[in-house]
Amino acid sequence: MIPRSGEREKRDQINENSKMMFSRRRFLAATTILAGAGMAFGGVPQAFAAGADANLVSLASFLSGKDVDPALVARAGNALNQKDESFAKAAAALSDFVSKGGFTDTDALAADPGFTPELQKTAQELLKALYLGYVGEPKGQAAHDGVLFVSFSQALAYGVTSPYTPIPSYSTWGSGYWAHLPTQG
Amino acid sequence: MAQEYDADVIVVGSGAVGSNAAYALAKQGKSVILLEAGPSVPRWKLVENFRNSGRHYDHNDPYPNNPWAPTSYQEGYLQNTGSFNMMPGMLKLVGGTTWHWGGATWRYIPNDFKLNTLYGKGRDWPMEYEDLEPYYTKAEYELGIAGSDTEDQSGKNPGKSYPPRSKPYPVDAEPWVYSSKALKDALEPAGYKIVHEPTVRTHRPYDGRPACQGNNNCDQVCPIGTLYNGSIHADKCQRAGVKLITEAVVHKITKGANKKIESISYLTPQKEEHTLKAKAYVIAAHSFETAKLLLMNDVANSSDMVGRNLMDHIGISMSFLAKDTMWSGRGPVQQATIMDWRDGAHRSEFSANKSALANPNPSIDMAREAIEKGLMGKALDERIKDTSSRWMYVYSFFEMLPDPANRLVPNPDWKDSIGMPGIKIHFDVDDYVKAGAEHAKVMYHDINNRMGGEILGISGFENHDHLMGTMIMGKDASDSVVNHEGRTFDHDNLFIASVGTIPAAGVVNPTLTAVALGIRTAEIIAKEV
Ligand SMILES: Cc1cc2nc3c(=O)[nH]c(=O)nc-3n(C[C@H](O)[C@H](O)[C@H](O)COP(=O)(O)OP(=O)(O)OC[C@H]3O[C@@H](n4cnc5c(N)ncnc54)[C@H](O)[C@@H]3O)c2cc1C
Repeated sequence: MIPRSGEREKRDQINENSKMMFSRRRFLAATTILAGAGMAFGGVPQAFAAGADANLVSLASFLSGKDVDPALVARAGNALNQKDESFAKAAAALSDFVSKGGFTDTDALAADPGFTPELQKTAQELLKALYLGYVGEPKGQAAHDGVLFVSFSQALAYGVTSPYTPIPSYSTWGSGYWAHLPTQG
Repeated sequence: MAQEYDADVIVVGSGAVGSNAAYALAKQGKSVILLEAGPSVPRWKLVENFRNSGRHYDHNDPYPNNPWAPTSYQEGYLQNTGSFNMMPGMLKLVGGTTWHWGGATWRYIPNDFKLNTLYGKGRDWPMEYEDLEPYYTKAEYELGIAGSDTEDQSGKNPGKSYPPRSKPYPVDAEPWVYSSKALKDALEPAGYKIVHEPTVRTHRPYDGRPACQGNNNCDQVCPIGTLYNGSIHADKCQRAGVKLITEAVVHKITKGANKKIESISYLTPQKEEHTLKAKAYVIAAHSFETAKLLLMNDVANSSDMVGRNLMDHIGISMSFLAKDTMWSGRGPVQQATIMDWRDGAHRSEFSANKSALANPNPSIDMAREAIEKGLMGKALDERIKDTSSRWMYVYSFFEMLPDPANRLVPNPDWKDSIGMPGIKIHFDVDDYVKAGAEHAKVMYHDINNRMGGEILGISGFENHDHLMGTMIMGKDASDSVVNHEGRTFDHDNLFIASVGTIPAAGVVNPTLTAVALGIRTAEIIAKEV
């Protein structure tokens, strides 16, 4: 019964994406392609354009091991910059380190002694914004904690699990689907 | 000159409890005014708020947090002085706090009403299960509860449907969630007693509500209106002729002659004051605000018990990774419930517990943990998929005993935009609960072993938003605020409808009981006005 055919297609695509290895060549190619795409964003307001930086899109793709929607990266970048204005500089440093390092994938990056705690922190901040869909430190039982919204349904964590568990509030699998495990996974 | 009234009855608070009481009165042909501090907000806006916020860990977040009617997490509104940080979720809008709830709608069992007589602890209720049973049935049909007519919910009456019921549940039990069934299959051979949680999340269409589609979002906002909340009866009230006044914060209860309340006054967000008169008044503003209102006005407090005896089902929880794939997050947010420790001789020594498997989608938490471990790329996705597929979460409620020292009072040091005080709380977890928690931990390790699992963590004491005792019910005016009718001992025409009147907490979620008590109170009032 589940998932529906549309869902299956989406899942196959996700599986394809997660199989991709972001080699250095791919990293640079992605940068070039997205630099073009970045220009297409020329008309958007400055703050937004800042987040849509092509290097950041490439970095997001390299760190997550898959293509990431530039609009999502833009939102993540904006939120991260809003939280901490030194983020743009830190991201540029990480981007530079990655492109100069010639890493085949994130395992190679992680193993490199030059991947300092500072660079690691930047990588984690970007990944958290993309995977969790928010930026900032949640504070329980408080109406205000300054956490900024990035995305809900596009959060990359759900990208991994949505073939198996519905994104909360978005189920289309019909009543009673929960009695069984997903057909794959 | 004859006294003029604005209505037969004024009900304060349009939550599940107040709206059901108001509706029961309207059905008897009484004129009713329902006063609600918050606004009326359509579901679609709340769903959009939810989907457009990154703050999903805060259940109050999608809901209006107005300066004149703040939610419970508004900074400063609740202040704690005790060893436990009592911070329940509470909402202020038409329909009240049940806009976000688990929807667990249990009955107490007969022994819960006689805790002191049977086990020498806490207090007895001033009524018995049989007195409330017909009203449980009425409440279950109003709310549309799906439950099992064959299971023993006490853990002590194997093979029998228990507690006794005069009518079957309006809807049969939900199909088992895969992970709930897996837990049941692993634990029952070892003697564990596992039953369905009765729920307002109906899996068949009921009373205009669609069948549950398993959106896994009950305790944030149900996107399709399956999960019952108080606004359903606030709407019914209006169709039955009740006058609902929103954004009306009641701040004054004025005493008159002959032990009567004479009038009630509310403020608008612009601080305009309006005064209304009725033959009877029902305060259903939830446990904290009701107690605050009574204390602010020095009403119903000759026993000095208003705001005292605060009890929550303080709990602990365990998360673990099962050996096999479970995919928590498919379907309802909670279901399988372990009844082994709900009742029995241990209640004379340590707290009972109700433990249950929660079924939320863990993806975001699993991602956070994996990223903070330094994972990236393919390894990150593999880790999220693996841990999300095997993650399980068991949580327990404990039975607190009433202690007058666990209390709340108005806090004049914090004021909202119309000058209403905040609330100061002093709350400590007692030894009875602490001892009960140690027993639950032993069970947790056993559950984890039987699921071939790996424990990720066992929590400290947690809030569970069940706020009992603050207007405690009893036989004796010297130590209780209301009698079994919900009538205050001090004022013949002032009634309380709230989980706050519950004198013995048991271990089950209390709202169905408060709705049943509220309907019972309404029927008593209807005979008098
Ligand atoms: C996350 C969560 C999950 C929960 N899950 C469950 C569950 O599964 N089962 C269960 O039984 N319980 C559960 N609860 C508890 C349950 O929500 C409450 O017991 C229930 O809402 C109480 O109903 P009520 O009508 O008394 O109060 P409320 O629902 O809080 O309604 C009170 C209303 O009174 C209004 N009000 C307050 N002050 C004033 C004033 N001065 N003037 C006018 N109006 C006023 C408020 O705005 C509000 O609308 C849960 C709670 C939370 C937070």
